[in-house]
Amino acid sequence: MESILYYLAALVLLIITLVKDKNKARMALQKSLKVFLHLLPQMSFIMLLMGLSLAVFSPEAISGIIGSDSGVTGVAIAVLVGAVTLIPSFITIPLGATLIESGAGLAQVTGFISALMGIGFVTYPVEKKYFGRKFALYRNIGAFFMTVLFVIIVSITLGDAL
Amino acid sequence: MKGLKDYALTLLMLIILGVLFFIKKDTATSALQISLSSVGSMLKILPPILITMNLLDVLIPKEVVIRHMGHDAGLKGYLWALILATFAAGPLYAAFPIAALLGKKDARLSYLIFFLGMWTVTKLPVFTYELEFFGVPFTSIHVVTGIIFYYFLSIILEKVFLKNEKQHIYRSLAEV
Repeated sequence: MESILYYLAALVLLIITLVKDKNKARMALQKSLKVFLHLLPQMSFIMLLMGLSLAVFSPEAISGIIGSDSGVTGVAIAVLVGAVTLIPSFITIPLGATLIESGAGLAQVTGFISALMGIGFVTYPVEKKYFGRKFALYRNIGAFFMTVLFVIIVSITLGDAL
Repeated sequence: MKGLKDYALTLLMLIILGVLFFIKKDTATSALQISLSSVGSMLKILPPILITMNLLDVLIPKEVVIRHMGHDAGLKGYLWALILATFAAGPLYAAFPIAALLGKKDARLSYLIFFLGMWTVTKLPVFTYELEFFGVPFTSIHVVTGIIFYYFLSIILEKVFLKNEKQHIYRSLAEV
């Protein structure tokens, strides 16, 4: 669904640009291809790692490690797993709900979800290509602190898992 | 042989998968299947985003971005970053080209950091799912914590990056 919108937006903009300036439209397309090829080595690695992590960390496997009595260690493992894996965001939330149903703790799942969405160990090379090393590093460290804060607030207000 | 060196990590993963195939055939097969479907979803999102951003690069004058998200945009800049991130969809790697475009057009660094943060918190597809599966209290804690946290992080990080480092970031953005 979102992809149709993206392609539609690209198409509409392409037509507008073509009408305005054919040359610039061609240059924009060439540039896009160049960037895409530039990102391809990282992307192919990311895709393979994503497949491996999803195959190895099944919901049963994860919820076994991060049960509601697994405490801070469980949260740490959840955050680590979330940081090194990459799962599409529309799967992340239902997966989190499944994890809780199969026995994982709320605080642990919170850490998992937040790390999954914010900390990009795998996307780090791509982020570095765009913004440079220091920016990518600091933003990811920031996302880590966000995760810690979120887990603490959730476990204080919504559960007694920690 | 620069081309081959770029794919070193990919080759490593393929070797790992190959070894895994002999140890646990099922896991390796499903890993490969998931990878292929991830390639599919990547192809659905990344090419149109790159094309859209490069076309917007041509279509949108720098002044427009500066007016809304330039250095003196104040709170309005944060609001724009929030709106852009909320109504976007896609994984974090789709946010990088968008932030890069804004940066290239001289959007303020703290807005870019806030935008990337909000992409992981308020993005609408995730937000609606979160409401449905985790309920109102959890989701509101997430959104409120996220907005406050990333607001301060963006200010702190902007201060951390010295002027020459900022120029380095913007130069790096211009190159990609």
